[in-house]
Amino acid sequence: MSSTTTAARDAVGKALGFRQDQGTGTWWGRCPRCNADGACVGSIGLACECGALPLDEAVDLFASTEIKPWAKPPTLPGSAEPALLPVDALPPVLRDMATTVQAVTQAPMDAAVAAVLGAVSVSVVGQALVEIDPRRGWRKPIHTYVGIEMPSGTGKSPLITMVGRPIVRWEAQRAQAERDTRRWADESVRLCTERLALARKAAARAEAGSALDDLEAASDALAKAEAAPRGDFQLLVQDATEEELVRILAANHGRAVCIDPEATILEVAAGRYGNGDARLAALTHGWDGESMRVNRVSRARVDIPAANLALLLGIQPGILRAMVNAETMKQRGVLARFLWVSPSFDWDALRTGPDVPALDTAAVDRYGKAIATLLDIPGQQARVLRMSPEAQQGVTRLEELRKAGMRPGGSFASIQPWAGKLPDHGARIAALLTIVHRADQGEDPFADPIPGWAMGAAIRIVEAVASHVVKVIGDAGGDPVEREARYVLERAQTLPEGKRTLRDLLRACDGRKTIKTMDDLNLVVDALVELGCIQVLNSPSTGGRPPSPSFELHPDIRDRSSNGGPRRATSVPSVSVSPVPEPTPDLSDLFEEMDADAA
Amino acid sequence: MRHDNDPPRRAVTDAGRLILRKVIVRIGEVSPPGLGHWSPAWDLVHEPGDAFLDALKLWEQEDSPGTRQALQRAAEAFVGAWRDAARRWELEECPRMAEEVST
Repeated sequence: MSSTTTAARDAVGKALGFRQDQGTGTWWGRCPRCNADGACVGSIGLACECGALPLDEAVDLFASTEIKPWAKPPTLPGSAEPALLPVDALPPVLRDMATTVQAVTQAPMDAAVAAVLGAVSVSVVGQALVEIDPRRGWRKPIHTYVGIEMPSGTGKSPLITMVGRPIVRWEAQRAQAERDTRRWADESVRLCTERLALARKAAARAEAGSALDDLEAASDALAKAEAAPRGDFQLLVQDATEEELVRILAANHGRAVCIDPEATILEVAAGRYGNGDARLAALTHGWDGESMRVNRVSRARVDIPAANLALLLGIQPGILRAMVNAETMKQRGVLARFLWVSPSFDWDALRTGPDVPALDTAAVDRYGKAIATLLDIPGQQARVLRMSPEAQQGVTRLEELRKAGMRPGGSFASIQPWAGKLPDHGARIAALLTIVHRADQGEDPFADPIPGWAMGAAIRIVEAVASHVVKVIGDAGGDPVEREARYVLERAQTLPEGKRTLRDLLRACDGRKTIKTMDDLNLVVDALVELGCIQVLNSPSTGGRPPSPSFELHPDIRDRSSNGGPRRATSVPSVSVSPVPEPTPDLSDLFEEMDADAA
Repeated sequence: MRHDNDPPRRAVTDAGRLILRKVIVRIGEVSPPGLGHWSPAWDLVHEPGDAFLDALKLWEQEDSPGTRQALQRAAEAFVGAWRDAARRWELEECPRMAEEVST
């Protein structure tokens, strides 16, 4: 028998689930046509009491092991990987800082770009407005919210700490300077209080003709002493409740910022640490610089004419996913105010030991000086940064992008609340790029309009950010079939060769609520076949227990594994999963620290 | 950011924060970096995560032996779900580890 015939015989035998007689090589089993035992597959073909089928016909019907030529490159289901944020769009002071912090922390470059932008935003919170369109009176604050979604261990914390260090240092210096004057300020208040008491007594006794004038003067002096800085300066908050945030905003002329690798402020606002109620007013008003009035039962009303809040946050994927799914955060538009980035992390590209470049201290110093310059801008004047004619054209371009993307089937279809603010996001980025570059160059940040280069760079950045936003908050509303197809394809990629049947695939999808039966899976598999991602090789039999069809992945997909390299055909998992369930993790010390503190 | 000379604050909400931090640290111990990018992990931990947060909320409302026990069990189930997700990810998604071991 030729090897081709042997191979064809064996392919049919396996496909039908027959058992092979090791002596003769003939396969025996239940006939797929009449379901009778005693059918055999040999060199001639499939033979049974119901009839005979030539081998080549049996192959075509039951064991089509030949993969048809792939008609086209596969179309991967679901949203594409986010675009890289263009580091070359940044002005040199930010570009060099992003480059060096990325190198030393080994965090993704997308995260570094977002972090330096966020730091600039924090540095200028409440300092100015950007005029997006003068004809419409369209003005917005120049600060914004930046969110970096990364899991633990990928450099998020050191990255955010490094870019935030000049701001933390500035705040500490400012607080210390005010602390030095605190003793005199407190003494001044005590003195004025005593003088007021004396003046009040004198006025009551009418001992002196000028008693009332003295009383008024003493009252004014006390008010002035109380208003003087008394060492309570605080710009940075981290895990404040909304009440504390409002207090800090009110005490700091409506300005507050948060730099936190763990986004605690969002968790607190979402109600995870209180009674479950979300408190989002500061987050929604603070982005727009809107006025806030807070009435509390036991305290005086707090009025903040313009609340300006800037955020630079890292966040764990699970925490963000929970917020995306929470209706409150979505409905109030909190998440739509963020510039989100969700970088991919390439472990293979990670440098270690002496391969990690040294910190570029010159770049860090230059960046620190520019940030300090921005922080030192005095007062809260109503500065307005206008658009140059070239930049104004960029605003029109952003509006056109928004319009095109928001159409049904457009690229922004799943992120409409965010995309609705696209010109807003772009204008803020353009303003931030402009002023940090001017601060670096020793120029007045607000003297001239936003130039065309800044708006061009901002458009590039915000277009890339949009692709990240789709990944972060868009998938929840994405096409469900595409979502399932993406999931099934990921599962298919994990199956080793020799275990790529649809039955194995269904088993691999165990736990997926939407794929419980073979019918559920077949729907998705059909979609993947349409996309050119897989081919199903075996046809199901016409009777009895059908053999599970096998499938083949497109080579472009098959050879792509999580580490970017081809899978070995003989790869064996290094971790053997014990058939005995592992013991439940022991958290009997869960309350230990809390009880110790209470004691 | 908190300064070293800030006074410690203790309240019910802070206690809940302590518990959550503890659980998150334990999750970090059982789940390797990169796991968060594997979408099946989120399907596996979704329900235990919700159950844990529900138990946390009940405990914050009333600290009793019953709510403590329920919270501890929910936390253990949540951490266990992450650990199981990590095992499945290691088994099916890390051929690099396999290459290192099988050579």
